Amino acid sequence: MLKYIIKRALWVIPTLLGVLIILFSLTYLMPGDPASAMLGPRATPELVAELNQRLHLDRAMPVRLGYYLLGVAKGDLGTSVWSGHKVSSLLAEALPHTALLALTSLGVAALIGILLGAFAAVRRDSPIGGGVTIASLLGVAVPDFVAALLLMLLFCVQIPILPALGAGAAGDPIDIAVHLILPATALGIGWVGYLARLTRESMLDVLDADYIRTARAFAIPRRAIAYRYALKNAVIPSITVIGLGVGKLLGGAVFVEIIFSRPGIGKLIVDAVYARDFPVVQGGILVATILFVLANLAADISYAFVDPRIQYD
Amino acid sequence: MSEPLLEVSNLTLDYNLGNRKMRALDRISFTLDKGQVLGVAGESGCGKSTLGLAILRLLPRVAEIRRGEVLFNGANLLKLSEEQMEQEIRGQKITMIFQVPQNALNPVFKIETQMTDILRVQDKYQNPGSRKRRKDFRQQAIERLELTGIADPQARVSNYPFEFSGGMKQRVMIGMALSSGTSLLLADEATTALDVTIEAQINRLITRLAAEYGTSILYVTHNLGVLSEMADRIMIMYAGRIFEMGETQNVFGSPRHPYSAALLESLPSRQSKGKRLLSIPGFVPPLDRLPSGCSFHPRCAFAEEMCRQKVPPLTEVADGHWSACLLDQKRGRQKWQWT
Repeated sequence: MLKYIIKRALWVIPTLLGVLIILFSLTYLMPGDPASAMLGPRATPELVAELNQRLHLDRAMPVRLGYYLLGVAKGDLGTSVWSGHKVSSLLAEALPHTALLALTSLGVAALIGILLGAFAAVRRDSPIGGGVTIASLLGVAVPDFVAALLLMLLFCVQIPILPALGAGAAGDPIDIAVHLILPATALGIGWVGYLARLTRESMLDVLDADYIRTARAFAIPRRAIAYRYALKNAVIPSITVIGLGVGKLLGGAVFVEIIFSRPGIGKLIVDAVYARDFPVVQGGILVATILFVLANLAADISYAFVDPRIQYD
Repeated sequence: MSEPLLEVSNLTLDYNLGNRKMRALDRISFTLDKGQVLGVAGESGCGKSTLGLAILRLLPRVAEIRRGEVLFNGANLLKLSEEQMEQEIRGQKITMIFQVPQNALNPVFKIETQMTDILRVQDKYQNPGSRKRRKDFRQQAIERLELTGIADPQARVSNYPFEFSGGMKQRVMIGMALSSGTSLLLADEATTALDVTIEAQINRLITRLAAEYGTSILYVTHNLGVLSEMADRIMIMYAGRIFEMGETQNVFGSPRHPYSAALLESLPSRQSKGKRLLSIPGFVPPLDRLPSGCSFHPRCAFAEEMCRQKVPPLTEVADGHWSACLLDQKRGRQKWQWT
């Protein structure tokens, strides 16, 4: 088991290295000279020269790649061209907001979606099953940002009971939680539907399995059969989907953060793109990638916990 | 005098698949005495497995019992509520072991968990108010595994099913299914998926434990050879009907139905040494397109015109020996010789 986890974790390194190289080469995709692109048309040659030197843009490409990787390894992601703050501290400030939003919405969505799907499968003849299917189709069909706008209209404008903007006062858990409700719902609602449908399908398969018949033949209580014996088998596909879906979730978080004006990674990246603040864009994408890779790692590991048949070695 | 444990009469069951209706069991009547082994044999698709599932009322949703009764210790199981089935019958007095042990155990739970869950349910219904702990059930599970001949049960109980071979899994199933409280064991092709050598071991285990606990067995198989060793009585089924039923030595010694005779001739034996074994021409008809008259007539080497028209009733042709063939009278004592 431990061997499997370590082996799986080591695979993170080449993945991240690949991403770093791609991020690095993005500087070459910017039209024209990166420094003047970042500084805008009114930059003086002195400023451009200074920036070129600071970012090692005047050196040969392999050297620059070396500098870049070395910097990342030391935790130095450069400084914001715009504000002069260190990129790492900007990210450290933004990350908790995004992490909280993503974890809350995904966690709650997974819990509700999986239980709803299981319930719909167990009651396959009742209208609940059909209801779940329709509701989940709706949830899947409505994009995050549309859901965000609709929720905002409904709960901030029509019935103003929830705050529309910001992440809440730091250090006030209740205020933070209240500010989290709408963004997390907007981001997670599609997942509820998706996971409910996925779980319902795999649950229907599992409920017909021989080992479920065995459990019934031995009078295991029906609720235990459904929510223990069957669900543990039926939840396996959902784990994969959640792991792979974190990328999509982070993408959705960008929109939601912008709409609700939450100071997270997504908003940071988008603002940096508008401002051509290239080090911040690079750093932000790097952090987003790390989140994605870690989520996949977590999914693979939890896979092994749920399904003992996974090869550990 | 022997006491009946299970009396099935006129059990008739349909599978409703869309607009197709398949009669999987047609007026099945038989008796199983306490402590006896009744072997049910026939080719695939004869309704053998359906019979076991119908007794425990574990049928798929498309199945519908049309008529008949299943008396167990005098009580009609078909009239019991689901709760009564769970509290008194399933896993308590009547247990079942299944065809493919590879699929019959839950792949993501330890053997210990699956066994203790079952033991806990049995304990709950059999000794209400018992204060057994997790540890006690674990110990009981280990004892059951030991009884079924699993080496090192202390360690093995913590394994997952995928760490067991097919034969070992079937041993685990037997450990779950057989205890002193079991009156009736339904074995549905319990050894079909296993190697021949393992098959013999498992069958010996079943017979030994059942004899010890006084458990009756309804042993469903398509392997007649197995039945010759374990069954007291034999029931031959074809396309949802009973074709022949009687004491094992009578059915094997002087089969009264041409189908039984053909099944026996298709078995390798001392007499058949060096000869080509019989293969019955054709195959079991789909249950929604049964031939008219005797459903076996298109494949029967002895069929006459009347077999095409009349459904043969199951008749007692000798003391305790029943057969459903129109030609029996005419044939007299002459044997059904296929080859």
